Order: sequence, then C-alpha cells, then structure tokens
Amino acid sequence: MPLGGLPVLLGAWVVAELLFLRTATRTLVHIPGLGRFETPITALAEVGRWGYFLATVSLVAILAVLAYRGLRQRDTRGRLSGAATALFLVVAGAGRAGLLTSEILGWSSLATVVIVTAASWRGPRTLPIALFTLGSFAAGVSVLAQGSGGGLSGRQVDTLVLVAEISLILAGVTTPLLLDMTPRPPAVFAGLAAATLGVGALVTGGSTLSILVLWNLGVPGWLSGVAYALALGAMVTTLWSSFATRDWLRAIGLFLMLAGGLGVISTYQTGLVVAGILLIGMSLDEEAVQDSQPVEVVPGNEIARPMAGTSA
Amino acid sequence: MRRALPKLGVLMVLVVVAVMLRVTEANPAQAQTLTIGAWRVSEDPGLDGSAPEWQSILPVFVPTTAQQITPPMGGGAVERVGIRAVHWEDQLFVMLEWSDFTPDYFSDRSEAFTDAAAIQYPAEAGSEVPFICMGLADQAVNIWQWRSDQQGELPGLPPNGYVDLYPQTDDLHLTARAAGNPLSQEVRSPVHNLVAGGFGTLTSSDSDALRGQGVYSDGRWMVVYSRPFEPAGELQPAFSPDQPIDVAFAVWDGSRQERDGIKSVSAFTRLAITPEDPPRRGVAATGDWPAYTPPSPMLAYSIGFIALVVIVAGAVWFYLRRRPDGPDVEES
Repeated sequence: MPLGGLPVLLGAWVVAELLFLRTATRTLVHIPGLGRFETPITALAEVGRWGYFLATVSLVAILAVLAYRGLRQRDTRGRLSGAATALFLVVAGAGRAGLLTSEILGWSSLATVVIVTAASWRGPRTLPIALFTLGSFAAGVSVLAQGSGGGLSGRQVDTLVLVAEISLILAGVTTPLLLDMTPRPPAVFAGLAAATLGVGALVTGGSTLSILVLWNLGVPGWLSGVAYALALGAMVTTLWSSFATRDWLRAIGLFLMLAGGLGVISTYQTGLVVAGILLIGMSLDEEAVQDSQPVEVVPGNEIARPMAGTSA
Repeated sequence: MRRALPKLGVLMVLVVVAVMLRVTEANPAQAQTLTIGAWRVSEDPGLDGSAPEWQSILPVFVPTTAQQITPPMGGGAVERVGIRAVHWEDQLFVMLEWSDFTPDYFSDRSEAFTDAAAIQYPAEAGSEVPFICMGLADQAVNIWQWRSDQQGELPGLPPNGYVDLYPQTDDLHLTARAAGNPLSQEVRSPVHNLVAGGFGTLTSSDSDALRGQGVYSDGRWMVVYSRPFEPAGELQPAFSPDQPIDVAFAVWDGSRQERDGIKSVSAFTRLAITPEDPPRRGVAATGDWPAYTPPSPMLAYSIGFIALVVIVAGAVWFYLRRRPDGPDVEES
C-alpha cells in the first residue's frame, strides 16, 4: 500500500500545529503590548487547532498504512515494526476510550518507540535515532516510574532528565549520519547560520529558548544553550540536505521525531515519533535498493543513472 | 486524472474526519504526561509542610526551567519542585517543596526580592492535548501565588527594634490600599488568588477561600495551599475526582534576583483526585535534595559537555567525508 502524499500532508499539518498552537500563540499572548492584536492571535490559535486535528487524523492514517506495510514484509524486522505500530494504535485507542490505565498506556508507548527503533537499526547511520530513543526512554522513565505517587528520589529524576538531555543533543549533532552523502556547502552554511542564530539568542537572552525546549521537546533545557545551538545546526544541515536531494521521507521523518519530542507527553506526540522513525527507516531502505543497482555513467556526463531495465 | 481522484478522495476523507472531531471537540489523543495524585486523607493535613504527615508522603518531582516568554526573562535557579497533594472533606491541599539555601523574607529595598511560588490551573477544570491551558488568548487561567514577604511572624527582626509608623491612615495617603492593591491591605494573606481571562486581565480575586502557608526548614521551602473543591468565584476551576486537571508550577528565588518573569517554571502536568490513601515512606528519603548549594550554573560541566559535542560533531564530519558519495558507479 503506497503512502502517496500522506507524509507531506502530515508534515504540513504538524508544522501548523507546532508553530501556531504549541509555540506562537502561547508566546505572543504574554508579550506586553500585543493585547491590541488579540483577534488575530486568537485566529492564529484556531489555525493551530485545526492543524492539530488534521495532523492527528493524518497520523492515524499513516501509522495504519505503515503497520500494514510492515506486517506484509517477509523479514522479521519489518513484521516486528508493523506489529508494534499496529499494537500502539490499538493501545492508544483503548487508552483514549478509558479501557487502559495511564501506566499501561505509557509503558506501551515507550516500548513501541524502543521496538521500532530496534527494527529500524541500520548500523552506525541510524545512531541518531538510537540516541533519540535513549533520551526518550530516560525522559519517559522519569515520568512513568514516578507514577502518580512518587517513587523516585530527586537525584534519580535529575539523572534521568540529564541523560535525556545529553542524548537529545548528541542525537541532534549526529543527524548528518542519516545522509547518504557529505552535505553540500549550502546545507553546511544553513546549519552554521542556524547554530550562529542559536548562539546569538543564547548570548542576548541568557537561557534563551529553554522554555520552548521544555514545551516542545519535553526536557527542561538545563544544559548549555551552545550545545543546543550546535545540535540545531547539525539538524538544519541534515534537513536542508534531505530536501535538496528530494529525500522527503527522511526530511519529514526527522521533523516528525523532533515535533514528537522526548518521553511520554501524549499519544499524539508518541505517534509522531513512531511515524518519524519508520519513515526514516523506509528512506534508508529505498536508498539501499537504489545503491544495489548498477548505474551507468555517460562519458562526459557527470550524472549517474540506473542502467536500463534495472529501475525498481 | 484517474490517479488524482483517489488521492483527492483520501484527502477529503481526512479533512471530513478532522472537521467532525474538531466540531465535536472529540480529541483522539490521550495525555501521557506526569500525573500528580491528590490522595484521600482521614484527618486535616494542616498547612505545615514540614509536619511528618506531609513529609511521609512520596513526592512527585517536576523539572523546572527558566522562563523565557515575556520580559524580564530568565531565572531557572530552582531545577525541580517536589509536589504532594491530598484532599480532606472536599478540600484540596497541594504542597510545593524546593531547595533554597537563602530564604528571603523581605522585599524592603528596591534590590531585595522575596521568595515565592505559584500554581496555575485552567479556569475550567480539564486536561487538554496538547496542553493549552497557559498562554492561549481564549483560555482563562487561575493562579495561586504564595509570597514569603506576605507572611506574618517573619524571622530575623531584632527583638527590640523600632518600626516606623506612618501617621496618616486615610485613603488619600495610602493610595495603594485605596486602589485595592492586595499587597497593601491591612489584613493580608501569604497566598493570592489571581485570575486572568485574556490579555492584560490578571487581577486578584476577592475570594478568601484560598489558604496557604510557607515553612522554611533544612534548606527547603515547603508551601501548602488549600481550597475547597467548589470555587468561590468566576474563572476558578471546580475540582472533582472524575476530572483530572492540567497544572503548572513556578518558583522564584529572591536572593538570585528572581522576580516577575524571572523565575523557574515547569511544563504542564496533570492533577488527579483519587479516593486512595497516599503512598507513604517510613523514613525521610535521602537524595531528594542537594546537601549544598549547587554551583551556578554548572559552568565547568557545561564547558566539558560542549567539548564533547564538538568532538562528536567532528567525528560525524570525518565519517561523512571518508564515505564514498552516492551509489556504486559502473563505467559503461
């Protein structure tokens, strides 16, 4: 079953939800003097809400397709990720209907992310996904192990949150490993610009962006903003390169992971992470298929193309 | 054209389903964030957070970070807050506990700031995904703020010291009191019940149903808030065992120059009122709070970590440079 334009659609809705609902309106409403713009800001929030509902529906559709595709594969890895995704959809639905406790729902979500990551492992190139999942696991345990009545000491919570932050930053810094080629200069410059902007925001604002990191990524931003800026730069480089080479699945997958954030925040955000990891895995598989095909080089022409009759 | 139709059909189905969900407010996602239990107790737990009845309850730790939304921005001196909540005879009690080695009781000079803590709820009880109780233009909030300088029986005053008395007691001279400033009233409470229904509407509620008290002991503040389940005014949530409610926390450390927007804030969590007894521990746990003032703000640690990040970035770059680009090429 083809995914068609679903990933692009989902990416667009998530952009609207992330920018307008989760970030912009929550920020703008607190800035003094913007009260006269209350109507447009309220309208912006409504756009974000529509983005959220459209994203949620598209996410369920894309996860269902990904689960179906996985279950139909012949290798264990594909079946495992397909089964985990299908189970997540069932568990999330049952949790919403009040049939499961929040503890079962939380641990199931965390297990799904771990299983899908393991099934998507393709060697060192998928290290950023593994690091992201490690961070997600640590952040999730800091929430789930406390339950609703405590159970972890303050030091244990600190350690888990710190592991989550370090993993997130290292995942960001290593994202260029997902690329199948050395990033071209424009992508590197874009990454440098993003990192410079991040460092600039740090210098001018002290603990800049930490609250947005907390709200959007699920970690409190205790570590240095410079490290976050470097991670941001590496991620922008990776996204730019992926878009430049028209590798939409990889770019959208990476974006969905980031929008999902670490730990267990909601079934929607866990679903974004699962979909993101699976899309990146698909992208790497498609790349491996293309790499396995012999290509011919026309003398005098730098562009290699698959030999006739060998296209997928 | 034939291929475009199914795609258009899928898009239409998605949009129709989303519209139906939006119109009916049926959110298909479920919150999974930290949930703080408000447990049932059989006796009045009181407002002294250092009492064994409170301290034996296991806390839920909520990480906090610097506030960076509205100027003045910054803060983040407090890295986490321990939360305990109970209910007794339809009254909710919530205790915040955090580490602070320099208690600040006075804001008697322009450069002196008080310690404070606040809890924020949406004006209507509920738990939304994603969490939108704070900051959206159409979402009102109810804030319970405690300030150490508003408590009576302040320590540190010289026993034989003099206090200047202001001779005039009329509204002409006591303008802040006349204007209704809650901080200038003769009968004051250390906790303030604040409501906000939109831009620039934050105001103090007349309700005196909210009680609270802060206790400083062993390098920690322990602040207990209490309010009946049923609200006494508008834009204040009703608490119910059937409805978890979103909640966020904020703490100010006065001696670290935190005031106004410079504070430590948490992400949104949920508070769920439960009929069960609280989970307790036999002895005070070690490791909940640091035994010393942590170095500010982990400078050496951060430098080391940045170095590690740079090294990893370099290794990734080296790996990418060494890897041959693109697919294998077969010369024709």
